[in-house]
Amino acid sequence: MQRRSKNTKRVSKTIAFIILLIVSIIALIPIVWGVFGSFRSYEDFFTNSSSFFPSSWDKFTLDGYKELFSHTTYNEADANVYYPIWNWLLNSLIVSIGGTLLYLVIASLAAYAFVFLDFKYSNVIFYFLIGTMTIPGVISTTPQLINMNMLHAYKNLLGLIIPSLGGVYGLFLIRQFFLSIPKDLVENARMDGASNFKIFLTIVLPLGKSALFVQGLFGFMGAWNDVQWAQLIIGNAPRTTWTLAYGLKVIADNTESIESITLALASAVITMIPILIVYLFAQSKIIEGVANTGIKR
Amino acid sequence: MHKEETKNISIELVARREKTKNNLRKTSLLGMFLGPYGICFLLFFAFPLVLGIIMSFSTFDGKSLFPSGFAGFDNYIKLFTNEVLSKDFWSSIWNTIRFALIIVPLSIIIPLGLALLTSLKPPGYKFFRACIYLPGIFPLTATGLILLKMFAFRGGFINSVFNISIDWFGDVGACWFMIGLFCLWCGIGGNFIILCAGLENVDKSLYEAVNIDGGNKIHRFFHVTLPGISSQLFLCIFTTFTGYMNLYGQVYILGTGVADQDEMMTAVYRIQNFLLGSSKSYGYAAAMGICLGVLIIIIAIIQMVVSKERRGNGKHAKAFEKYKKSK
Repeated sequence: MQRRSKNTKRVSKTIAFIILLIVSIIALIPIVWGVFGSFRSYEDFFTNSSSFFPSSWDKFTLDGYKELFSHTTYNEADANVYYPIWNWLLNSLIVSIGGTLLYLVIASLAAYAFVFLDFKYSNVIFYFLIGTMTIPGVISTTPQLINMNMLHAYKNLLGLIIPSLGGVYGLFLIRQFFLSIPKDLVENARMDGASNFKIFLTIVLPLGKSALFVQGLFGFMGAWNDVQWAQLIIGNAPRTTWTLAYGLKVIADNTESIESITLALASAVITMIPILIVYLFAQSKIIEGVANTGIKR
Repeated sequence: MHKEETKNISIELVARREKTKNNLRKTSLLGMFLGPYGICFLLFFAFPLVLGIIMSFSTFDGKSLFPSGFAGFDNYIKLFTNEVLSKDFWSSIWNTIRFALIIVPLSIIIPLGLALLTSLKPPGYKFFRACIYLPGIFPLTATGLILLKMFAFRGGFINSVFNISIDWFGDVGACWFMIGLFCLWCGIGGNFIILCAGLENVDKSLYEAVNIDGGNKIHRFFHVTLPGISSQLFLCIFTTFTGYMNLYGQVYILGTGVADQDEMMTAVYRIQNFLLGSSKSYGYAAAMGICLGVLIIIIAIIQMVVSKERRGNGKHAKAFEKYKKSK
């Protein structure tokens, strides 16, 4: 009896292994194909379009990348294929890193207030904030655009950074982590005459840094990947103010012919690299973060 | 003892004297800690909400971005009665709902199946988990661009390998199929990980209890596993549904090659096009947003009520507690 159940367990484990392996391979196939494809020549695509890898190893070429970077200077005749990749990369970095850091500062300050400064109606205010999370974002898309225009944040990067500063989810996450910090620690420091700022900087932040890290990762990835809001804010702006994720859409529209397939794949790979680096280093933290908080991206 | 008492009294005196001073300090302290976030919340979250409601009752002259007059319910009436506009809007809502009805169940059942397999902990399950989550971390434009090239009509990898010639992004049906595939490929990772975490927290002793009672695997699944992960399931259904009611990016990237764009329009796509286009009827766009938002809220409430009934208000959980105690 015992042995039989052990055997069935082994069989079901093997079946699970095989199915998960197949699903994982399917999930990775397009990405691997895209990465290898970015190093192929379009002639190779044309003659061997059914091969997954470059047809031979000496067919590896950087032509796609070279071509992509040959479009980085403005040329009136080819205004439509002007891809200032370096500007886009820099803009993406500014928006995702700058916005995330700013949010971490203001949200952790506010979380500290909610947890360690007991003030009147703090719970009421907090639950009110939580309640606003159920309001669908689509309601405020249009007025937010007008709002950004009033604040001179339309058609520039500011408009991609500041709307996220009012977000509630990150504050909620950081507050939950701060709640697990022993209150005695803070009280003792207060008895010793430490100011709130000192307590915040020397006790609360170091203890809550994993929450800030997780929120930082999600903030970075969310801002880096944003296309929808970026389209509204910078879609009608000069190309030098675009971000990588948005610029890719225009590249996709311009590269319908097979000649430009390597250029397109190269641009996709370049956009994916920073996120991939973050994922490789912080994969377990990201997965843990999704599991614990229910943020999906 | 005596010393303690005097100390207490002096503390009380000092406290009383400093009370007003303290209050002032407390307010400024709060302002410093809560102020920056409070301003951002009011300015970038609360204000647009109020502005949106005002805008939906206003007319715009197109010269400026500020409301030029009071429109009453005109924008909303247009939504329901204007022949062109209302047809555009409601057909896009229908496109969205129709797609959501297909994709939401798949985005729950497939990750649930994968999570059940992962919970058996086969070798390398952490690696598989990371792989299945991977496609979702990239910008939709990047993963979408790869799909566009991989499934390209001429010289595309898929068409060549299977020796077929399907115009994946030119035909309405095929394109919606591709969008569905895209959503599953990049969208199930989050649900998968949440459900994995839920399964890990299911009380293992309950499985034994079912075994002792002679229950089979189906019993175990419906009476232990599902109730055990009900909160995660609810979270997944809620967020997935809300997400797909706001479907935009995937269609925007894959759907531009279809000739009949009306068939590809989702509700958010419609709003987005309105805002990017040359017509400056922001009042109408705001009314569309509010209408869609209210629709999402209504469906979410229905979901909540139904699932609460389904979950029997924790009836099963209580029964299990009792069952466990009796053992």
